[in-house]
Amino acid sequence: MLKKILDFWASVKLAMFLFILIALSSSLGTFIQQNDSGSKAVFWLSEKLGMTHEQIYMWLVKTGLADMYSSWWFIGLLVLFGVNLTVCTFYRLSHVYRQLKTPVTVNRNIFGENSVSFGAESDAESKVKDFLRGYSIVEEKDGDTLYLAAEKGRFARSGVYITHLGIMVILIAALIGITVGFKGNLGVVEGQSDDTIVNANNATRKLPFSVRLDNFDVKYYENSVKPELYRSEIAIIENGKEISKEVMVNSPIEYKGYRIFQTNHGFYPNKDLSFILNTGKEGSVKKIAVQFGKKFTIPGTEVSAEVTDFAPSLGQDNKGELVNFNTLMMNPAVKVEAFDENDVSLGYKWIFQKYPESGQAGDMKIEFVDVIGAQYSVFSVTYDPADYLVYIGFFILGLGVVIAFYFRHERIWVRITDNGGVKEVSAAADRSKFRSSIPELLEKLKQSVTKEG
Amino acid sequence: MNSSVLFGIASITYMVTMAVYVAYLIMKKEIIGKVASWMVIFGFLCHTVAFFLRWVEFADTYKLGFFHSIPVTNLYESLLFFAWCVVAGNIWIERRYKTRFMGAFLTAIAGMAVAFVDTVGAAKGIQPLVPALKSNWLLAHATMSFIAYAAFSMSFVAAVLHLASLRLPRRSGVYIFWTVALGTFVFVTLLVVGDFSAALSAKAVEGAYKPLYFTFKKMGVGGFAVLFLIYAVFCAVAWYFGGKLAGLMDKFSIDSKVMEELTYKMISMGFPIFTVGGLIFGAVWADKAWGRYWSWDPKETWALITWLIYAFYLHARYVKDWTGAKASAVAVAGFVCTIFTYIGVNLLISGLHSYGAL
Repeated sequence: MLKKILDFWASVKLAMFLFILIALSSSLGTFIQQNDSGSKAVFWLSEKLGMTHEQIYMWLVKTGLADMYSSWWFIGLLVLFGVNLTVCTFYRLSHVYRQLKTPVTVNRNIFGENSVSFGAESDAESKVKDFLRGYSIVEEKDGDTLYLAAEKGRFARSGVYITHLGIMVILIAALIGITVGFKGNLGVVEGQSDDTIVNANNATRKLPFSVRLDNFDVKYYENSVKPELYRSEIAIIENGKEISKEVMVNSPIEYKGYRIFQTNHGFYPNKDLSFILNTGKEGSVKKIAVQFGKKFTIPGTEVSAEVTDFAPSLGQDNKGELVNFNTLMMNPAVKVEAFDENDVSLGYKWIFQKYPESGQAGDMKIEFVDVIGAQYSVFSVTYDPADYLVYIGFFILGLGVVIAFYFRHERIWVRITDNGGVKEVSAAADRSKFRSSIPELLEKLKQSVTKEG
Repeated sequence: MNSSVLFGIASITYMVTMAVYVAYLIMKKEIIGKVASWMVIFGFLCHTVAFFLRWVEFADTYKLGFFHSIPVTNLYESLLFFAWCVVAGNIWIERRYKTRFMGAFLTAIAGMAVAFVDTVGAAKGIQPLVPALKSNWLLAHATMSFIAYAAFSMSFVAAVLHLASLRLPRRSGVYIFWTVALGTFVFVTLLVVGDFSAALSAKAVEGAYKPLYFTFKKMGVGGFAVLFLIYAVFCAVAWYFGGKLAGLMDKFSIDSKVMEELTYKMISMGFPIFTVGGLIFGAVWADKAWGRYWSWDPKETWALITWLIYAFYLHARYVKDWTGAKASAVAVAGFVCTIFTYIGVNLLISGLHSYGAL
């Protein structure tokens, strides 16, 4: 009875059935957009079935289809798959262990229908051994007859099981990740800080630290609207201590098991901007921070100035007029109006961040270094204690498939009989896969033994 | 000499070679076959040089570092690379199995991929990388995925030929399945090429091109009906004439078993590359860039489905010793999933993998 149950769980038939079942069911979730009550699938279904969108979505939620990859039945299917894999692997383990431990032995009765036989010169033995270079060989002598047994790649028989082990580790790690780990988004405006992440279901969670965004930068390829990099300079604040870090796409940071990724960014139109300027007389330039619409004095002069406008992507339209194209911070510029000591306007000027010479006026200059508070950055914060386990699983799985598919266990048996100077050679072979090309292998052996010289 | 000239030479060579292979199949003259074999090697060499030249050009233009510059990051370049893999496979098969029979089919696939890229023009080829694509994992992920796709498409050709050689009755389910799959494959390929050419001549291609979007966008019910009718004709032609392939194979004494084994071999070759490059490296890359190694994104999910179908095939073939029509039908199904993963997902469902758009 127990054996029957075990047999069922260890069967390849069940595995193949589960392959198809998992493939079919997981395809459903690609057509029904997950966690989206306004998806195309909801519209389509409500039209076809004559129900309201709410009814359809409620039904999808009830069946788990709205969030199917974390529904009990889909996870159950994966667990079933994991159990099948585990039982099947352990079931065969002792058999494989024996196979891996047992070297090839001489077999005197293997030469028959599927073997080749041919005559050869007296140097047949050395030629056969030449051919079998790279194989480990055992031999036995019986009167005038020499028996050889050779093999290579015995370890290849482990490939299938290493592959299965890798998948098991990944499934276990994924299960831990689902139950213990979490993930959410954290959006911060430049100059501000936050410590609460929001996950896909709009649930919030407080982090043990807060993140302050000091600066966000987008760099574009020259003469192109394609971004080259996104960079957030952040400070992680915990118990009053600050640590400065830099987060970029593809280059996340790690802090106490939490990982912080650059995922999104945007423009935040508001009046609380502050501008970093390099200003003063030639030779004595100072870095200052000024607020929108607040007058400041240019160091070393009587002249005062005020930032009156800001454009994230200033350019010229085809009539030559200045126009702001978008909010992508492609060519940020500030409009600065200057006043003399009697507060009489001296005129205004657009100063571009990219072109420092645009802020030159006589021996005075104002360079626009940066703007703080105009942009926000969205980070995704993840916590997964089993992360490293997944990588171990990946490694095992990768190793497993390479061994299983690119190596094979090959065995060759040769019998050389001495008939008074003329040798009679017989050979047979076996391999763990692609058995149909065994005759080819034996033919090669024959060619290399019978060829002249 | 720059890379686009060489790509041009290679693509013309492939297309002419396909015609020569077809002539060889019709006339069965050894000399024509030899000419085809040499031409395909010539095209392959041009293509190889062009590939590396483009790589260097890319590296020079954007100064990204050598490994970030491998030209496989958009649909154009990846198709060229895919064609290169298929042609390499063709050369290998000719040597290994000493038959030129597959040449016409494989150069047809490579030629179509390259022709598609050709209509686009080489000027659009080199584009800088968006930040998410700047990763060494990308090199490994994208390159290996395309090698696997190439192996799978060769397994598809072999599986179709194997199924044809079995001379199944036209009413059998497996026969209907494989001929319809073949008809669908040819129809979709031609449709994408046609749509792109139309979009190009209407100057509707700016920046991003979504496959088939141009045709589908303004199509009414009548248009869809016509399109569906054409599709039905393709399937019907494949269904009616599919069995005739067997006669052609007999003429060249192609063994049915060889095709079956080639199917198995190509899947065995592609599966580990797909596992490591497509799934594992893709997961590692996603983890590095977005913080999760698996998110059931439609592209990921379809890659997993493809993997499961091929896993099914391998278990059936290796453990259960399926060698007949059923196994090859599974191989055909696997390739249908492969195509869907590559093109269908970008077309019908959008996800994180929007880089595949032109």
